[in-house]
Amino acid sequence: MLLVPAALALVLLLAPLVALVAATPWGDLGSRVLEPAVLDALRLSLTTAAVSTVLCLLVGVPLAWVLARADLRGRSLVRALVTVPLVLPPVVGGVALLLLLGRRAPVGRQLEAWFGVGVPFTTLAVVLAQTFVALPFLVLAVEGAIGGTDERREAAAATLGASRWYVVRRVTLPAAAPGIAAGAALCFARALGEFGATLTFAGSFPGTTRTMPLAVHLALDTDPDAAVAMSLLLLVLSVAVLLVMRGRWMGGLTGARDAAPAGGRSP
Amino acid sequence: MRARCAGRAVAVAVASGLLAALAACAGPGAGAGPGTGAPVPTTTDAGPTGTVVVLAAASLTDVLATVVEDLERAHPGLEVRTSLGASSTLAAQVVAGAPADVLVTASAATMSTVTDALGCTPAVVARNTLQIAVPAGNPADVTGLADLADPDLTVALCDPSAPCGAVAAQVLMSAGVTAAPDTLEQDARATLTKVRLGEVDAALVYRTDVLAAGPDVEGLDVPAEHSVATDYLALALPDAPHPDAARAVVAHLRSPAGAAALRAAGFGTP
Amino acid sequence: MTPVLRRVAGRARALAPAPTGDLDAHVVVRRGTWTLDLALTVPAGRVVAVLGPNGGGKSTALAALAGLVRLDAGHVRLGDRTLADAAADVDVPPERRRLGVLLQDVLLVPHLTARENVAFGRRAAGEHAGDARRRADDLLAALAVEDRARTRAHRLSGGQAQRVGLARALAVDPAALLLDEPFAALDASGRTVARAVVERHVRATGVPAVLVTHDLADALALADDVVVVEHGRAVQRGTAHAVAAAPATPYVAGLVAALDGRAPGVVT
Repeated sequence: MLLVPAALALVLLLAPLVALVAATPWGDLGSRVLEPAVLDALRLSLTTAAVSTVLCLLVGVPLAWVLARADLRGRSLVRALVTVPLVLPPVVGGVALLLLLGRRAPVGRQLEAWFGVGVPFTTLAVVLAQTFVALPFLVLAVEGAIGGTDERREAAAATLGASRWYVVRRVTLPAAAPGIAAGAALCFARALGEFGATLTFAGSFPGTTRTMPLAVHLALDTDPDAAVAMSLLLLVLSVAVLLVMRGRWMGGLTGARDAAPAGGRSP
Repeated sequence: MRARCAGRAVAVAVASGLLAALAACAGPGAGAGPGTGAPVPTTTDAGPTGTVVVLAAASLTDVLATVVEDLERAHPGLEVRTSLGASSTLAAQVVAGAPADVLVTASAATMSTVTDALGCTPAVVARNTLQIAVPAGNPADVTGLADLADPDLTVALCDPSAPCGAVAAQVLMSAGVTAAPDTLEQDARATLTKVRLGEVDAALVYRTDVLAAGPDVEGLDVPAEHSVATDYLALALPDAPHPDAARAVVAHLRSPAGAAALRAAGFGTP
Repeated sequence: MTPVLRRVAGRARALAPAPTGDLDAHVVVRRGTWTLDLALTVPAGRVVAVLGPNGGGKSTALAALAGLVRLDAGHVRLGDRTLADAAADVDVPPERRRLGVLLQDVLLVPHLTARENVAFGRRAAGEHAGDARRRADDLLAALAVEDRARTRAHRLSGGQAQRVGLARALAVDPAALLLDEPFAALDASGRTVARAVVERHVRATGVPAVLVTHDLADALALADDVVVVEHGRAVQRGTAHAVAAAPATPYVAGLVAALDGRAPGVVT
């Protein structure tokens, strides 16, 4: 009964990708992908997405921990706020970033006064735009992973004299590692695909702010075959990232499932 | 290239050379329209009716609203639907067989991808020139094209692969300026948006865009000797589902009323 | 030695044994209509067994002593230290109580090896890895699980995990021992070994020990005194033999009957 809609869902997800692969100009794919402009965009995309992912991990994991564990008033409100960028059109995110960090915005004006350069049109702007849209993916994935670990293990570790920070480092985070890896993979993939906020906030300049999605969008107007070749490259990259991370994730999950040694529990 | 599509073009083809060119232009739509062979194009027939789909360059957004209003008033049975976008995108849609009646592009090169494929000749309906757009009050005191080379200024240009970027490159080359842009935007509107938001000090965009942006943006003329005009070309598509209506739209764009609307929006007219 | 190494070495310190003394507690915990209200005194160097049926409150009492459950009233004092005092709003967090706690579910850190689990508390206190590991290996050997030292905790059997958990609690040189069913998953010989290790530790270090169990044999083997807890309250106190000789409730009587059915050699 469920097989028909399930198959339909699969077709909806995969058919466009199949069409993309089918439209790929295989003959000169190599030369198209190796063009300096494409390589520039690829290098920029990979580095900015990697930096954004690290940034997301640095601030997102602590936020996820707070959401999952801390005694925090208004926690569900904070969680709802975290998810806003998920449902926000990325272009709106770009506008919001401009309103905060643009040269006419109070914060942006101050930054420009201090450092002499504005944030928009810099690679930093690309990273910020990617971080803005990718962070919720990481936070939600990691919060779920931390929430899924056994809090009593942390309590048991605390009785051995371990500080809260030590418990987080040695017990909570390793236990949530598979979820963190999955979150980081999602985060990276999302950052890699970021388009709207980047275009709005960072502009589009080769080597500085023109990431793969921007290059694809531009090429679509002038050289559709190049756009298809680049899209295929992006697709392969994203799938590779997800496959690698998924392999680890599954391994980690099996480990976690084996982890409960003793049986029942009385109040 | 002043004629229109297929058989209809015969009416205005006077030079024999042009006639020869048109012979090669007989596309799949040749002889299909009911108006084929009619001596004079006119918009005052019993009137085209139905829904006509016009694909037009995004820079025509505002003026098209006026044109559509005029058209629909002149032809009560006619409903005009517009789809606005980058010329190249629209052209690609037409080549791919989108069910459209009229295509208006902001670039002769883009239009030629359609006419090459379909074998027709478009008509020039408007001309546009570039202006240096600066945020209201001109905070960076931009005075001319040379300022676009100042690395301390934040400058936006259209990407050279976009029509407005190609024109900008010609203008800059003519003036001997090597610009130092901070961003190369997809199209003129995106470039103008950066000016409107005050995120860039200057940009090269179409005069019409500056005019449409209202008080947020000021325009500085490019010296006449460096100015390069862009032709806007309109084409009633040979496979148009509503050929009469399609011709009516193109004719209206070239009529005094259409030209007046275009000029009001900042365009030059042929 | 490079400056970095010296700094690391300087930070790594040996974990000093915690100052101990008598454990004096009165724990009151309310859960809706259910109330735990238990006074408990364990002199230094002695073992008190808390006996009772599941749901009677004995595990909650132990969690309250460990600082994992907040007191609604009462206090926990250990020697000179006040670990909790509801009236004075004192509640020392578990990580600063310096207790050796083995919970009923053991709850080892699954991705760490048995040895790393035992060394965990000493490493957390900043002790050098080598010192902490030697101590861990000694305890694992004493409990006859040294062959599993390098096995990750999630691969240990229930009995092995329980012994590692016991070693982990003893390894931190605690000021008191709080053991919840520490022998439940062990076979007869493992049980004998583990009881001996606990007894030796208590006599050698002079710490008070609370042994939560529903097995009268554990109490008879290890405990100086027994408290029977049913419905959140102490229903009988006395030496293990006195309680076994004169059960005050049907539950205790049942324990005695179950014990009589066993091989007499188990009772020491």
